[in-house]
Amino acid sequence: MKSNTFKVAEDLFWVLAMWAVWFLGITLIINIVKSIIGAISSSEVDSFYNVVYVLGNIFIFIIGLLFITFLSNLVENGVTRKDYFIGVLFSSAAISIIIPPISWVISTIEKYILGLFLDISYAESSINSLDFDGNFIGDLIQLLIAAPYTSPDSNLILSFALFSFNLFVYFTLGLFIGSGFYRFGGTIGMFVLIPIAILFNVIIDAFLRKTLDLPLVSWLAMVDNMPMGIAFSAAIAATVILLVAIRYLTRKVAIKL
Amino acid sequence: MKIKAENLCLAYGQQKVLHDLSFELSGEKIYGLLGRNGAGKTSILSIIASFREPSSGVLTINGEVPFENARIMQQVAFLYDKDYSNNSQNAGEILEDVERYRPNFDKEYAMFLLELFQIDMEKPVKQFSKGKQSALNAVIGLAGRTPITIFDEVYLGMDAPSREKFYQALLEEQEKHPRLMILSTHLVSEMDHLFDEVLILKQGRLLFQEDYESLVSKGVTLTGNAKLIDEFVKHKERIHEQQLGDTKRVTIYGRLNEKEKASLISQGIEIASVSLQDLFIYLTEEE
Repeated sequence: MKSNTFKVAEDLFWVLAMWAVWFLGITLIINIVKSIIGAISSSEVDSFYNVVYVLGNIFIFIIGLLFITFLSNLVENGVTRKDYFIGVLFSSAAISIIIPPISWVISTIEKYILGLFLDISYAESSINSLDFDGNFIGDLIQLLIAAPYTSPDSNLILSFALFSFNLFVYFTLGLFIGSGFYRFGGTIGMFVLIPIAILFNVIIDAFLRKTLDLPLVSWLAMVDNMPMGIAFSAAIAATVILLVAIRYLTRKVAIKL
Repeated sequence: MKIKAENLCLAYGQQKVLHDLSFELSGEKIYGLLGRNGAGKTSILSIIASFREPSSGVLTINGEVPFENARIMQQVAFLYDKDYSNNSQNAGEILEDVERYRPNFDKEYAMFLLELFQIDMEKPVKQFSKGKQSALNAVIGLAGRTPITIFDEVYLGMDAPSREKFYQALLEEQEKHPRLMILSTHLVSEMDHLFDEVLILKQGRLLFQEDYESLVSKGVTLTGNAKLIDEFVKHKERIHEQQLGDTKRVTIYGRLNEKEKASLISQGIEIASVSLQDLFIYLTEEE
């Protein structure tokens, strides 16, 4: 008989996979339409892979926010909070790992098929070329939306790894906020947990930028002095701290009736 | 199965809802948990079902703390008046989830119950009427066959014929697949025949835990000539009174001795046991 941990991981993975299919499908349709328009108007278009690279983080962040709702359903069916946490961990890691290669395959096929009929010029990704102008809010918004990027054309494995890591981090940030709202309610969620999540996002982003030798925003210049290996380890450590915080938030949480 | 609570307390912030509760439930019986709104029924049941931890005190099931205990949690089902308004699943999908996580789930019986309560398996549950949502909870609880099954007023949304079907199904199920069931309610009069044992709560404190028969023997109902009855009960604790012409019915709290019984019978006064409903109202009356 399967353990509950495995069952939860499997069930939640299929939920995530179903939502991912919708997300990728809708994004693909929009991308095809934009590619056709781009070909007709002779303007550059973003590849499907690059579009998913940016939008995927927002998609999975929202899913992370909503994922706490499964906790009450599972506890009602006799599943422990620990099994829920481990199940979420494995399912979100699995979906984060498979979205990048699937997006790349779809992107390659899309380029090939459209290329048979249309002359499309694909834009170089501008995800990493952020314009830090010292305006704190402006810089912050850019950091939150654009995660560090490596082109699959230059290093496929690194691109996939970074893409997966970004997806996992954004999911974790969403789950952290969702768990906090569930545990403490709106006020603490809004004024404590969202700022903490933003802080973690910025910190992890800075460590990854340092690891990839990308430009850093001026108010995070101290990270620049860090050796790359330490910066990468710090990004992992910050993500683990978030996971520990989620476990703490859900470990003894009362199920709402 | 054996549930044991020792000095159980629960507080929501500064507000204490359970005060030092100690009780023991065991065997394959149907327990009635009675209390007025806000008496703490759902709070106790939430602790038994591991939906929350007590603030202090200990609750054990078969000697183990159930909270986050995978083996115990799998054996406890807590069905409550759940809001399905945001749930886009249909009844079939919900039952598939139950089947996946409840090892004793009986699918065939679940199908029988769905038909009994005329529940459409394909329709999203958020489109169900309140009564159908309640009936679905009843189906999940009955067909799940968990050794401890808790129904926390799930029957409130059902109409009277559906409630009757539920009570009947519950008794038949208990006969075929006995388990420890807890039914919390304030619909005392129509459910009292289901209970083997009754716990009465008042403002977070346990007033009584007794078997049904001994609880209803705590009072008597006298029916007969108004004058004679008034004379007899003038120094007794009265629970309930009704009068029609010269005939009066009075329910008193306390037992009658043999001499009193004989005297009343000789005066043509009928003696009957108190109803659980009257006793419940009397015992839980707010000062």
